[in-house]
Amino acid sequence: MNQDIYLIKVLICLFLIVLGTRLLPFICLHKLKDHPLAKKIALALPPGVIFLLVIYSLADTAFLSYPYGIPEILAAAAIIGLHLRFKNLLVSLVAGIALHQTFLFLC
Amino acid sequence: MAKALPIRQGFVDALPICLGFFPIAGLFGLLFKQAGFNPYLAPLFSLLLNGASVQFLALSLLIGGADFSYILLAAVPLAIRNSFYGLSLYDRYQFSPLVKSYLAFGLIDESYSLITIKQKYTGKEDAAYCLAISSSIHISWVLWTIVGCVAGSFLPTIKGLEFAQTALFLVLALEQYFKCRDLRLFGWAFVAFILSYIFIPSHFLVVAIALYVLLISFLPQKQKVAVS
Repeated sequence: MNQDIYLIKVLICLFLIVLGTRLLPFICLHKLKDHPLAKKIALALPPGVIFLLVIYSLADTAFLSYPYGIPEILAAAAIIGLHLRFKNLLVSLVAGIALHQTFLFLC
Repeated sequence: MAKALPIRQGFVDALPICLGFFPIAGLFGLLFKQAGFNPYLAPLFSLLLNGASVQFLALSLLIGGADFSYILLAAVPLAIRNSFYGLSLYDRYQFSPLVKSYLAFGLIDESYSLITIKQKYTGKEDAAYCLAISSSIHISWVLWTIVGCVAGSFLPTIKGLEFAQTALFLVLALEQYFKCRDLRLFGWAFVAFILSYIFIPSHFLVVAIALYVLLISFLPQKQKVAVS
């Protein structure tokens, strides 16, 4: 029971942090929103951020030891190829994950 | 041309992401249960935190027995990147405070990427559309967590499920490319990554995003950037 209460305390504090950071721009940007830079940044932000997130999600992969991240690299290449060819979110996603599991198994 | 009902379209557009959450949220539920914590709390984490990175970080720190204040402190750099997302959607999210608040809360990596690409509606229809996307992503995130908790008793751990996160982001990144058609942006993001990884590797993500914002502020605007 004590552990549950502890977890809930952590959760509530994390919730406040998460909520605060997400509400922050909508509270603070009121003055800045007409700044000429704002529009440029707003449009250019998504592609860069998502690209960085791809790299971030691979940060824990052990590239320096067997299997040297090869399943990840191959599966990522397959996803890129499939998505450029068929442009279908679901197909690329499912096939990519399945291929990754396959490569992992084969290594 | 008649547009599909925005709520329905929102659910349809969010569907691949909702399905793609199965391995990630399921993994969270699984790990949470296998760590010995009360499984009823896992979906609560997903409900209130609505984000993979903070949740997985919190979980590993809780398992490792880290200090209460350390957990909170460690979560801040991860959470703060979502503040940048509001930059892009500030204008579009000019709705009632309640709607705006929930949409802001639902602004996680995946919903951010999807909503910035899809700009089919305006006004109230846009509100309905964004709400449909954000809520379906949020709800499926919680549901898969529950599945992961329940299945935790029956399934052995499958290795390599974390790649599902990479796969999701990769596909979303490609979608972003289709929209912006500007490889230079990715180039600058890569530069930001290299620099931040060299100097502050432990928090390279949020540093890279901040650096990226700086870099693009100084770039000339590409003429063809679409403005909806």
